[in-house]
Amino acid sequence: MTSLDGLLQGFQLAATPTNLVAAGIGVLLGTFAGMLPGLGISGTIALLIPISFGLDPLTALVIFGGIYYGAAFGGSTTAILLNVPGEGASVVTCVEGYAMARRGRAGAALSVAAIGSFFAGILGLAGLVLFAPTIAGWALAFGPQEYFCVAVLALVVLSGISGQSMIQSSLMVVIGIMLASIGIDPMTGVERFTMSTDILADGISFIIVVMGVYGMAEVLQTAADGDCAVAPPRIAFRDLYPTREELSRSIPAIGRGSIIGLLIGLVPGPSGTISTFLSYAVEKRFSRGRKQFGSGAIEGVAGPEAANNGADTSTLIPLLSLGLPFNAGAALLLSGFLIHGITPGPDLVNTRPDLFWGLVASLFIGNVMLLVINLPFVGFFASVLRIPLGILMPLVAVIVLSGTYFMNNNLSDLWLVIAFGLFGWLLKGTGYSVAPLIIGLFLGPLIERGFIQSMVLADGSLITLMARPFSGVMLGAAALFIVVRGSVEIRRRFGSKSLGVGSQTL
Amino acid sequence: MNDAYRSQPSAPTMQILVALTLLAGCSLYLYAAMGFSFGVWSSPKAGFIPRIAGCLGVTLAACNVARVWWTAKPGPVDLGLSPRRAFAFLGVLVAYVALLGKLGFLPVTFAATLALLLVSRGRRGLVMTLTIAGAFSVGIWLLFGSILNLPLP
Repeated sequence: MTSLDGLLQGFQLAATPTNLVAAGIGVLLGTFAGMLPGLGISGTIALLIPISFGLDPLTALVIFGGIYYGAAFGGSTTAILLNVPGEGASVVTCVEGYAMARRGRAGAALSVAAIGSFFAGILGLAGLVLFAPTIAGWALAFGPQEYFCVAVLALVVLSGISGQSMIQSSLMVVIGIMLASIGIDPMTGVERFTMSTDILADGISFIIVVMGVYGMAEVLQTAADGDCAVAPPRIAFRDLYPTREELSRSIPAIGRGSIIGLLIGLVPGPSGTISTFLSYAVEKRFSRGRKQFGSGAIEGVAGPEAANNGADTSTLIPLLSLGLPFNAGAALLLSGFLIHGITPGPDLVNTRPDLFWGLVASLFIGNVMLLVINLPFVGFFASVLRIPLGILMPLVAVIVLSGTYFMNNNLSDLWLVIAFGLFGWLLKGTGYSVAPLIIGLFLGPLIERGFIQSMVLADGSLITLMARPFSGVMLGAAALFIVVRGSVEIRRRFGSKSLGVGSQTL
Repeated sequence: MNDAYRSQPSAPTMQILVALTLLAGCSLYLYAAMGFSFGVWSSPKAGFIPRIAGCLGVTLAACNVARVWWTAKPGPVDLGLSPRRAFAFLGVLVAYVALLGKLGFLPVTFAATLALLLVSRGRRGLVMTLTIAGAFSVGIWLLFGSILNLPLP
């Protein structure tokens, strides 16, 4: 079956009335999730856990895909209207988008952001259609050595570019691997680190940690911040039209931003944030309206928003073809899949093409829905921002706990969610990123199984592992990255110290 | 500046506390990992990866403590304007989980929602708070228990 045949079959499956409604619900919920601080993708997924149990797997995937897409769009709405970046990727949208809103051009900023996101999303999905099946086909030939080496490279790169010190992010990755080792060792059947308690005997579920460090931690942070609802400006439908000049300036920025996003999304790490900053820097230097930057340049909204959505879409390529989540958003989407017993990766593409292509087609549909539904109703969405967080957060807290309970009907899981919520809140509050921890936790078992099987097959010889062409290249790239990143860090510290001494002398 | 804000520990103290906790956690993990057999490279046992991860974890956590200790500004601390309110939320949630299996879903969910709303909103709009807590708890009880037929605790 060619990719085009698969996609057409996927559209047949995704375009049923049930799945279209599911895509609409997912997109709407995702938009709310992105807009409302504290709800987030994890809170929305928790809300849907009990509701989605009776659904067909594809319908559930379609809803989770819609949430993933919608959340990225919702983030830009709060950034433009309220100057509140819900996530790192929306920071630069705040700068130019909010400045445009203060000039009375909020509608134009929102519509250009939506058009940019749509264009980049479609381009990213085209990449997914072209490359994911091919990569998944190659991955079928992967042995434990290859999987181990890909996972190591992903974690090494992630540790180096998570926006914090390399020591902190590497520590988070290792703590994730430690958490993954709790429970019964699948290779030897030995119970590890369970402290003879039932609560830890089956290990710590990836989804429970996600619910804790994202869902519950966000609730705690918002509770600590207090009830701070801000009134957004009212937007009429006619305000949504960008002027001809705004549109002509946006188109090249959207093109550049999309390409940046698509490429950065293939690199492990916070691709959304990195791609938006990179796109902003490019626009600030090369765009026609570069002199307006800081006071509401439309290119500063169009480029970064396209880059963010492009990165969010292209990061689905490694997730769906290899089963590797390269950033926090992909890990959250993965948790939604795992709840329904669906593990993304080459097996999904090759043995369940109906699910894979159905999901891909639904993402196309979701992208169109996002544009068609959200733009005309942006005024309504903005009014959602008037809901006081003091009311919303208690409800989200109860929903996160209820959703977690219904996964296994086990009250012990709730204790873990609360514990990880506290852990995540303290870590985030003191500047640690929890994304490397989550990805370390997911990849930990893969690394352990891959390494042990590789060692048994190679009779304990590390050289054999490196001698395999693909494994060797991956390990070589990981080693090169460590050397380059380490030398940059040392040079930066050495440089800043000598600068500090110099300035004191002066 | 309000009392809650003033009651926060200073940023470096908080940073060092978290860094030391991570070091203690990694050290405990390594200590426990030493109890499992390492095996040999050609036949690894249950303690193989845990010991490697434990050693790496302790080394990185120690470097992290050193980094925080010797850096004048280890990074910002943002635990919100009132961390006490977050701890009050935690207290209610702990009580919620403890009582859920004993008193049943509906009464405990109502009590927990009400308590959480009181923590986050204070006593303003008490009737509104009671209405929201009642409507929400009955709503999800009906949704989970009657419509979705899920087994309630």
